[in-house]
Amino acid sequence: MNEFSIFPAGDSAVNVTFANVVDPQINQFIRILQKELTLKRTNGITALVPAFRTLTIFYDPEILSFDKLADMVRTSAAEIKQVTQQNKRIVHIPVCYENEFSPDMAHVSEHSGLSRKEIIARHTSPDYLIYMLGFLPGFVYLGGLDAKLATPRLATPRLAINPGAVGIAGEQTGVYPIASPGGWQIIGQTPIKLFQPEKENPFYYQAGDYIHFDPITVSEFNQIKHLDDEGRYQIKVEEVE
Amino acid sequence: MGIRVIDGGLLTTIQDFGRISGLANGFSPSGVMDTDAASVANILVDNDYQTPLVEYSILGPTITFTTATVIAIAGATVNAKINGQQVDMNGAINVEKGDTLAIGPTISGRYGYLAIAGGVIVPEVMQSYATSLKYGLGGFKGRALQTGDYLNIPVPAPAVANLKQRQVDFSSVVDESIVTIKVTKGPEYDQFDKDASTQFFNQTYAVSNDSDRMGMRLSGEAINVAGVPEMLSEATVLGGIQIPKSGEPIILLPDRQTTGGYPVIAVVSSVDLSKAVQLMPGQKLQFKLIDLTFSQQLLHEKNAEMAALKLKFSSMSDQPARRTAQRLSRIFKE
Repeated sequence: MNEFSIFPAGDSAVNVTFANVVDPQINQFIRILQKELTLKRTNGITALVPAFRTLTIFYDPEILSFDKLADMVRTSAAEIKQVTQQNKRIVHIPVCYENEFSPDMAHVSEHSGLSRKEIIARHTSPDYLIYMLGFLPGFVYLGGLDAKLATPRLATPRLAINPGAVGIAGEQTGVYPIASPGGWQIIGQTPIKLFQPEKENPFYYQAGDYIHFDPITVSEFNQIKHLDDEGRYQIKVEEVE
Repeated sequence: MGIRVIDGGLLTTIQDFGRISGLANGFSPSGVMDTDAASVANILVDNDYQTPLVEYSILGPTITFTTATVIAIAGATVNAKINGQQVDMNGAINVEKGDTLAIGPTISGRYGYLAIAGGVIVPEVMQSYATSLKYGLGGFKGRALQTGDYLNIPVPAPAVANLKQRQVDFSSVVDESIVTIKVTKGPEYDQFDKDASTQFFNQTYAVSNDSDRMGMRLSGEAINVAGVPEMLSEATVLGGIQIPKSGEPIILLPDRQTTGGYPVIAVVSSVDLSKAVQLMPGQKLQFKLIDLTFSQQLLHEKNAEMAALKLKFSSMSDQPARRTAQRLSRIFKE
């Protein structure tokens, strides 16, 4: 278990690569490894980017050699005795699933055979694990969508999906932090800005955290949006053991 | 006081060496395309390598200086003119208040750089000054420069001494009929069968028209990727050469997405990245596999050359070190 290989990814990065599967345990091991390497504050490591089953380490070969880095990775990995149950950090994102924000709800309903109410209940029940971020700033690849809700992408992608749109694409669910073209089935919208480049910490979450969608009404949507625009909205974050 | 944009040219942006703080959060790094040319331009005016500067492509900008300063132009070959008078590339140039610099079209190469003493003043976003066109952030208002824009530069300009001696013989633009680009193995190299990798290294590619700051597409005989297993998305690296389903390679560049799901057969050596990004549509290239240690050794040598150049020029402006600098420059001449 947790076996990996180390592949150079050019002369200034390495990939620590695990089995080619989506597995929460492998993904968690990667994040613990990332944390260990971050804590060591090694001179020469410039960035660490976790993905489903890889940790890419960017480094400056003038400061740190490939061999030394590879040794460090092996040592750090060996020190991780077992993947202990870590505290779960759950970031709550309010989502309005009402008509005006859910252009594809009818389609998902037809595809799943579930009512709008059932779809909302199933979509807002799990804590979704963030496996990785990519594609757009703050765009999350989540695990844990109710299999009944899986719906293929739109045949023709939209040219612009609104920032904050919540959607389903195949077995994935997620939220668009910024506007983008895309083929996701849109079933809701969050009023809060998920990417705030002007802030010291522009993102509310990182890989390894969980996202929970909380259903809100249109009037709550407007209230929260107003607060968030003024920088007064406090996002709910839970830490559970 | 600063610079007024008379004509923005085709795609003129403020860049530094990119934004790595957002890589793990999906934020594309951006930054200069040709790091060598950008470094040289900055060094010529005594800036740090990574000081924000102006990058242009295909058609350079025309700008008026509202204050005196010192500039340098490097990268793609251009016939730049100040008040109609042609000026040299790869040298430090004095400009007076009211002077107008017209860079004009690039004659060879794709990306050119204009460095200004002390750098262009733009707000820092997520620890970088680079323009991210995709997200409309960073640089100057998150977009390309256009007519009427006004950018601040340091006033008074930092003193830059011995302008006449500040000239280097440098170019990342090559016009060989087939350009060789050195690469090291990519993380998925082993997943390609022997035939596929042989084909990749033996054939001559042409740079496609469909190339931009995100990636350079190459056209050639398609590589058979049928044997390569589907893979989960992973982080992308600068210069990574993806082989998508079509079998035609894409070299990933500064505006690339931070993650990708196509196998990466090879990665352009850091020392050859500048040469690669300057290749023009239709230009031919071939890849040459070198080993990791050699690639890093070449990078080390290039860094040492840049550092020596930096020291040579910065010591010119440093009064107490003037004599040392003169000794050094004698040594360089010999």
